[in-house]
Parts: sequence; structure tokens; C-alpha cells
Amino acid sequence: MSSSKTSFEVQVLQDKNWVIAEMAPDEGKAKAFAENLLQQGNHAAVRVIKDFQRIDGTHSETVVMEKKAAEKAAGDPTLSPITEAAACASLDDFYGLPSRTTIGKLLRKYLDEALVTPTELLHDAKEMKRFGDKGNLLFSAIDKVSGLQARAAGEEGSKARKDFLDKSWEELSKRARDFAAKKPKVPKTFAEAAAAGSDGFALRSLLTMALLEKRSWFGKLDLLIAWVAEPEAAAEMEVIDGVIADLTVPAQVIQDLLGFQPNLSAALCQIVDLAEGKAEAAKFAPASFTELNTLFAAGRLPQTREILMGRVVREIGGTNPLSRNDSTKEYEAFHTLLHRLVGREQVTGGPAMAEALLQRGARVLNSGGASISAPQALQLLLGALADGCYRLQFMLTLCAANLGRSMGEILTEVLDTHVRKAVHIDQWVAVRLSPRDRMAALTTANRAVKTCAALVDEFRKALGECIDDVMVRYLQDEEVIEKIDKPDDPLAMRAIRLVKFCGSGVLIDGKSLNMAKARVIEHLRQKQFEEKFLASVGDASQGEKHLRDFHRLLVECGFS
Amino acid sequence: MAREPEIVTRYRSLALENDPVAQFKLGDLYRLGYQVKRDIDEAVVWLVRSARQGNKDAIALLKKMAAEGVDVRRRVDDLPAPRKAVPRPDWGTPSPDTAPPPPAVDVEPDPIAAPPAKATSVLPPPPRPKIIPLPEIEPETDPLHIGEDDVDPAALKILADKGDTAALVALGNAYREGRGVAVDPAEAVRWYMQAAKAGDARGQYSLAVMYDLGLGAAQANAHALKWYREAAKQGDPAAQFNLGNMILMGRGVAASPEVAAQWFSQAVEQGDVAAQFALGALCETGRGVERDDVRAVELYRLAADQGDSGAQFNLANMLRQGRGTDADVTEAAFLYRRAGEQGMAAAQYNYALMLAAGLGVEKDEAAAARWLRRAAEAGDPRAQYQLAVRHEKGEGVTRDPAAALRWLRSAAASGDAQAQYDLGLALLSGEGVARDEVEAVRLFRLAAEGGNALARYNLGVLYATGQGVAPDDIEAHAWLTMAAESGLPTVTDAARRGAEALAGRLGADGLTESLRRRERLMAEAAP
Repeated sequence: MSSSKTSFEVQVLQDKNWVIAEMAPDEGKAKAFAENLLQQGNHAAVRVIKDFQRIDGTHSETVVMEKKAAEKAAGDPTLSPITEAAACASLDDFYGLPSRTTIGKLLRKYLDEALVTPTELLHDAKEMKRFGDKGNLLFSAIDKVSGLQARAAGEEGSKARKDFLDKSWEELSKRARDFAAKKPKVPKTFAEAAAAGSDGFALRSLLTMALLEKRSWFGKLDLLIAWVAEPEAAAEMEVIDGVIADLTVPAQVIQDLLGFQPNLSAALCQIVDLAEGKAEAAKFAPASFTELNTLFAAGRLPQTREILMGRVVREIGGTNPLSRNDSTKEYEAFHTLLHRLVGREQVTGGPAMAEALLQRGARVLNSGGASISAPQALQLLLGALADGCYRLQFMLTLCAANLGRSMGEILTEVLDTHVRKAVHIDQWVAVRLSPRDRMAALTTANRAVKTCAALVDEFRKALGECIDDVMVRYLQDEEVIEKIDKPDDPLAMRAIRLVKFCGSGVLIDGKSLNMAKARVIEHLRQKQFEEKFLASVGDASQGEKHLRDFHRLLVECGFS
Repeated sequence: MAREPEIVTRYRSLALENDPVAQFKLGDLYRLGYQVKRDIDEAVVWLVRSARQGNKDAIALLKKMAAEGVDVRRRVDDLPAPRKAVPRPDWGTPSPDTAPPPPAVDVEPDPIAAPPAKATSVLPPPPRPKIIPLPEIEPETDPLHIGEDDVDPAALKILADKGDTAALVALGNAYREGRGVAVDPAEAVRWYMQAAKAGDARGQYSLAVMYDLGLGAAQANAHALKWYREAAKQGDPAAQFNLGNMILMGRGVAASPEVAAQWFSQAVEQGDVAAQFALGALCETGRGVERDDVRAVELYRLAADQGDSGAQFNLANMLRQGRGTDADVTEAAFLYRRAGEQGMAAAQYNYALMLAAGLGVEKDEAAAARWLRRAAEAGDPRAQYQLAVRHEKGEGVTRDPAAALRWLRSAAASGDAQAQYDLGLALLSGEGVARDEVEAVRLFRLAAEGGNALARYNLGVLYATGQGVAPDDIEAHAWLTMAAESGLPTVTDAARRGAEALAGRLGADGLTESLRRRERLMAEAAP
């Protein structure tokens, strides 16, 4: 019999990690339980760990049994469990980004095995035939997609869709065969491809021929990046961007592209940085990372950006931990991600991202507790945002999401309360920021409210005025205008500083700007302003010039 | 201009919403010049507005001011009427038929509510709010697997045999963490040792950690110091921090905050979070470096931004107090929350107090109680006591005397003097709990030793009367005298009178003995 200091853990291999399934008092029971689990066939491997606690309290662990489940016979790659499929009405729709993205997700395992992108699959006759011959994969794929399309369209049966997809596949194959029958040469440069490609399909088919010669994802990617540099590529960026977008669908490509990332949160931040062209290559990142970053910075890869941001939304909305190796850091990992995405001016990724953050926040902030409703999750998430400006932007973005519409008045009530209760600038923006940054943040918040298309005019106006009141109070409490308009300073200096302040864009176009403008007008209306202005200019010979410059400044700063 | 104090801000915001009490308070603040610049005109404006709403205090104060010659009859405009409802987007109110059916739960009738009038017709039940679920996000069919790198020990061993020191360290890590192999700290030490001797800084650091923690090898400060130092000299920031920490604590070497600070500084330059926090703490306390609150704030902020909960907590304290930086209670509350979310009980407790007071965050008693519960469950005695009080009063939680008693017991057992006193009092009176005078005395003594003046007084009385304990006038006199010296107005006089009454019975020898005991007790009670 085992001593009371010995225990046995039955562990199962789950998602590449060993997790405890059961504790057993003796080895026999533990092994029997492990065998039973293996027989059920739900786990790739099981093991039994003997844990011995020494007198000094330390533990030693010994693996007393480890068994793997029998490898399943390699069969046709199965389809990935997608829940949405882009609709397609014409043959050209099949070549579009939504269609290719659906293909990329649904056939992920096949495409990884065959090492072809959806673009290559749809443009090469041999690849189409190879796919068509792969057991029932083509029929299963058409069945799956037609079912999803019919359901999304509210149709009762999927037969019509299925027939359309069958017929379209035949036509797509014929197109590819017809192109191959012309026996085109594989282009060596993009210029060659552009010269030979008479239309979009031909160009993509020529690109496909060159890409198929590269037998790795990064080989294909590097070829495309090299071709982007050719002058002829400028006019056909949409085509190249489309194929790069295809290449950034597989998780493995993204992981290799990012290099070392400590956790999922960091990886997602890096993807967002890359998509915005603001990333710095991490350790072990390939050279293509930096080159892609340059292309993103130049705004040349909008389709790829869409694909990357779509992944970020899904990953955030998913259940994979943001800090797998250290669960105590899950909150901070979420905090980092949240504040990378939610800014004062926008939520990167828009309404879909706001929804995903809410979904993730509900799990992280509720400490894995019972499931909560959207309004409860919103309250938790708002508390996790650094200041009032961030909270406002998040709510405004959420207003434009499907969830915002279903929350309706609940959301607008939260929004209204948030704005009306934050009567002091400290509730909107941190004290440590400079006065200029604080005022600019409030002005941005005001602008965001005023331009939020999801709200009605009167509501927007009322909220905007509340924020303007906060600014007015700040100007008064901190005597901002008085500090700019110091009575001891020369009049010219005071007037110029004040006018520049009015035109700096940090004031809200409303009461606060009017307050500053009123002080300028007060100066302008004083008797003999120009004489006094000229008298206060040090260099009398330049007086007239200073006056002209001042009048120009007035016009530039909105004084008519 | 200095920022307006929070209390004034709160009064002003309520006053602007036409709250007569807030208007009176604000007017009085202006009258007295307390927390704001003295301004009689402004005081009159707010007092008149309050008086117009019938506030008696405001009316009385205005009369008094008028008698003192202040002009209180000037024109004062009323505040604008309450805002009108602004139209919102018409997204539709959920109709009752779309709402889920009410849960089949029997609700206790409200005993205070008036009995319902006889219904002449059956009215439909009021619509229940629709439960809005979280959005469904399309699942990722091919998710990223970050941080799940497989370790291939065989491949690493081949590299290690070729002299690749990074592979030696990776093998050590694999054995230490049980990745790809069974956990074997001794084997990890063997691989780290090879890497360390080959001059690999990470190997030296990892080996030092094993000696430091006594993993796979006997704990040995000298060895840990040696290898930390080797790695630190090569610029390894984690080694620099750990070396500094050992020197700070005098582990295996004479303690020297100055030397520790130097190692921390080197690690800080390389962005080491732990070192940023540690050096920040030295700057805040002036240990080993000149005291510098501004630098402490800078360092704490660096570490806080990288998620260090200790730095977030300390930075929040400094922001709250305006030390080394402008005061910002809003940011302080946010940082307490961040640290609290990471499980730091002290931060959870402080955040709960800020929620309860509405300081830096909107007042929310229910949320305060939730955060107190988190801190209480994490073992914070102050939170346990506060939660007991809230359960007793029903503040932010349902009133629940049983839960209150449970948390009071927890707090008392965790060493909270106030909880020990309160529980002692309950046991003495038998209020809500079985009477137990002996246990009450034990708890009073604990609380008294913890410095609680009321407990000292009560303990003195119990010794004097022999309730729950053998009578002992000397002990009673000692405790009563200590209570009398506490300065707490509610006990000072009574304790002094009690001590004086006993003094007559004790005589000179007894008083000397009392003094001796008091000195001993004070010494024991000193932290």
C-alpha cells in the first residue's frame, strides 16, 4: 500500500499540454483509469505521475506510465469546421477575397499538404484536378459551403446552391484548362507576367505558374515581395495583395513571420502593428517581415490587412489563453492588448474588434466565473479602460456594431451616464499628461461624439456640449487663458499667443473656443489696438510686417 | 493653479444638479475659505440657492451672515431646470414577447410594501428587461499556437554535444520544466553547470537560480552568489537583479543597499521590470540611494506599464498622495484595480475603499463589496473585517449576520485588532453568538496587544471585575492606564477614572508592579 505521502496523477495530453484528469490514491487504480481514458479515444496520450512528498515538504515526480493512442490511418485531409461561407453569384466572385478566404479556411489542411494558396488552386488546371480527385473532398466542400450559403440566405434547401457550385467548379476548371492549353511560359519577372497577362485572370494564372514553382510558403511570399518592387507592379497591386492575403491565412505562416513572441497577446499586438506598418521585427523574424511592414506602411496591402485583422478579431474572441505559459499574467496580457487596440481616436479593427474585446473581456475580467450578459461585460470592460476618453471611444465604436444595435437604449444610457458624470477633466484624461495633450484628448472625444453616425443628432449634440463644458471648466479652473495672456507681457506677444492657441486645434469648437476667441476680440476692440501692438513690437522698423503677419495669422486661425 | 480638491468637486457637481445640501456645503466652504479660496459673494450665491429650496441650515446661516453685515439680498439666478430628455437612436425597446420568460423563482413578498389594491382587471405583467447575450465571434479554425513550442531533447543533445551552450541551457530548461522529458531538477543542474562553466550567461544565471532555490541541488547562497555574479558581470539583467536582491537582503554576503542599488541600476538600464520596481522602492525609502520620489515614480511607472503589480500598487499610493507627482486619484484607482486584477489583496482592498468612497472612481457600494470579498478571500484581514461590517449593515451586500460573523472570525483569526475587539464584544454580550467570556478575554487581549484602545479598556475592566478571567487589579490597572494614554476620547476619561479607582486599592507596591507590567506589555505590543 502506498504511504499517505504518495499520490498519483492521471494526466491526458490536451492541445499539446499535459493536464490532470484525475487523482488516484494508488498506482493500480491510476493506471486502470488512464487505460480507460485511452480506450475512450478522446486523447492522444495519457500518463500517470507518481508524486512523492518528502519530509522537508518538497515533491518528486516520476512518470510511472505513459501511453500514446494508436495513430489514426492517414486519410484525406478533413474539412475545417467553418461557420460562415461567403456568397457567390457569378464566376468572378469565386476569385474574390471573401471566396478565397472561405476556401483558405475550409481547405486549410489540404492546402497545407499540397502547399498551394486558394489563388493557385483556382488558376491551375492540374491543381484543380488533383483536388477534384482527392476522394470526396470536393463534394464534401461543396456540400458544406452550399449548406452555409443557403442558411445565410434563408433558403429552405441547399440543392440549388449545390448545383450552382458544381456547375461553377466545372466552368472554373475549363477556364484553367483553356489557359493551360495555350502553353504559356512561366514568367521570370512581374514585368513579363504583366506583359503577357491580357486580363486579370491571365495575370493571376501567370502568377500562379511562377508561385507553383516555389515549394514553401515563404518562397512564394518572397517572390511576391520581390515582384512588388518592380515598377510594373504598381498598377497591379490589387492582384499581388490578393495573393499575399492568401498566404497570410495559415497560422503557421503567421507564426513564422512574427518570430519569437512570448504569448498570444504579444503576437496579436505584433500583427496589428504589422498591419499598420508600425512593427519592429522580433527575434527570429524573417527578412520578409520588415519588407511586408514597409508595404503595409505605404498602404499597399489593404486585402492582406483585412485578413490579418480578421484573424486578430477571431483570436481575441476565441478561448486560447493570451498568456499560456503564465496564467497569472492573463489580465495584464489582456490589458496590453486592450490598450493597443482601443485608442482615443478609434478602436483599431472597428466594431467587430470591439465585440471581440467584449467577448474576451467577459472571460478575463469575470475571473472565469459564470457567463454574463453583454451589459455586464460592458461594465467590466469599461472599468478596465484607462480613462474616460478610451471608454467613450469604445462605447461609440460598439454603437456601430450589431451588438450595439441589440443593446439599444441600454448602451446609450451607459454612454449618457458616462459623459454626464465625468464633469472634471481628471475623469477624462490622466493628470500626468501635458495641458496641451489633455485638451487635445478632450477635443478628440468631443469630435468622436459629434461624428458618431450611430447616434442621432440631438443626442450627439447634447453629449458634445457636456464635454465642451468640461473643457470650459478646465480653462477656468486652471486659468489657462490667463496664463497665456499674461498682463505683464507685451501686447503683440499676448495677442499672437492667444490667436495661435485658438488655432491650435486643442479647443473644442463651441463654448471653449469661443471663450478664447472672446479674449482675442477683447484685445482687438481696445482703442488704438494697432498702435499699441506696434508699440509693443521690439523692432519698430519691422512693425508693419509684424502687423501684416498678425492679420494673416488671424485669418489662418479662423478669425474672419 | 492647484487642482480643486475632490470633496469640493463633488459638492459642486451635486450643487449644480440643484442638491440643496450640497449647495449649503459648498456655500459654507466658500464662506470659511476651507479647501477653496474664501469668497463671500460665491458663498451667498450657493446659500441662497439652497435656502430657496427650504434648507434650514442655509436659511439660518444666511440670517447669521446678514446680522454680521453681509449683503445677502443680492440677485441670485436659479440654476437651469433639470435637463430635458434628449432623443436617442430608436433601436427599439425589447417587446415583452421577445423577452425570455421570467425565471420560476418564488420571491419573498416585501414585508414593508403596501398590500395590493383589489384588482378590477388583470393587468399584463411589466415587461422584463431583455437579457442581451454576448456577441458570437466566428471561431478561428486555424488558431495560433504561441508559447507551445515543442522541445525535442534528442535534437538539443546533438547540438549540446557540438558545444552549443544555448542548447545546454535549453536542455536544462526542458528538464526543469518537464518539457519533452520527465521533470528532473538534478539533471537540469547538470546541463546548466556545463553551460555555466562554458561561460554562458543564461546558463550561469539558471544555475544560480537552482542553488538559490535549492532545486536539484542543496540550497547554497555562496554558489548562487558566485554564479549570479558571473552572469551579472556579463550583463544578464535578471542575474543583476537577483544579485542585487541577495546583497540587499544580506543573503550569503553582508547587506549593502548601496551595492544592491548599483546592480539594480544596471538591470534597469536593460529594462528589467523587477529591478525597476526594486530600485523604485529604494528611491522611495531612501535606502542605498538618496531619497527621490520623482525618480521612484518614474521607475514604478516603467515597471507598472510592463504589468508589475507591486509597482502598480506603489505608484497608485504615490499618485493618491501626490508624492513625486501631481495627485491623480483617478489614475490611482485604475492602478489599484490593475494590481487587484492580478490578485494583489492590498490593492483589491484599497480599490474597494475608493469605490466605497467614490474617490477617483464612481461610488459603487456593490462593487466595493465584491472587491472586498476578493481581498478577503485572498486573506487580507482588513478586507475580512470590512466585509463583516458590510454584511452586518447590508451595505453593498444583502444583510447577513451569519456571514458577518464568519468574516469577523476570519479577520480576528488573521490578526485584525478591530475584528478581535468586535468579536470579543459580541462574545461578551452574547449578541448573535453564544456567550463566551473566556474567549472574549482572549480576543480582547490580542486586540489590546495590537494597540486597540477600546480592547485595552475592556480588558482592564474584565480583570478588575474578574469576568471571564481571574481578578487581577494590577493587570487591570496596567491595561486601564494604557487605555487612558491612548488619546481616544471615548475611553480616555473612563479608563482614567477606573485606573484611579484601582490605584487606591493597589498601594505603592501594586502601582510599581503595574508600571513594570505596563512597560513589559508596551514593549511586547510594539511592532
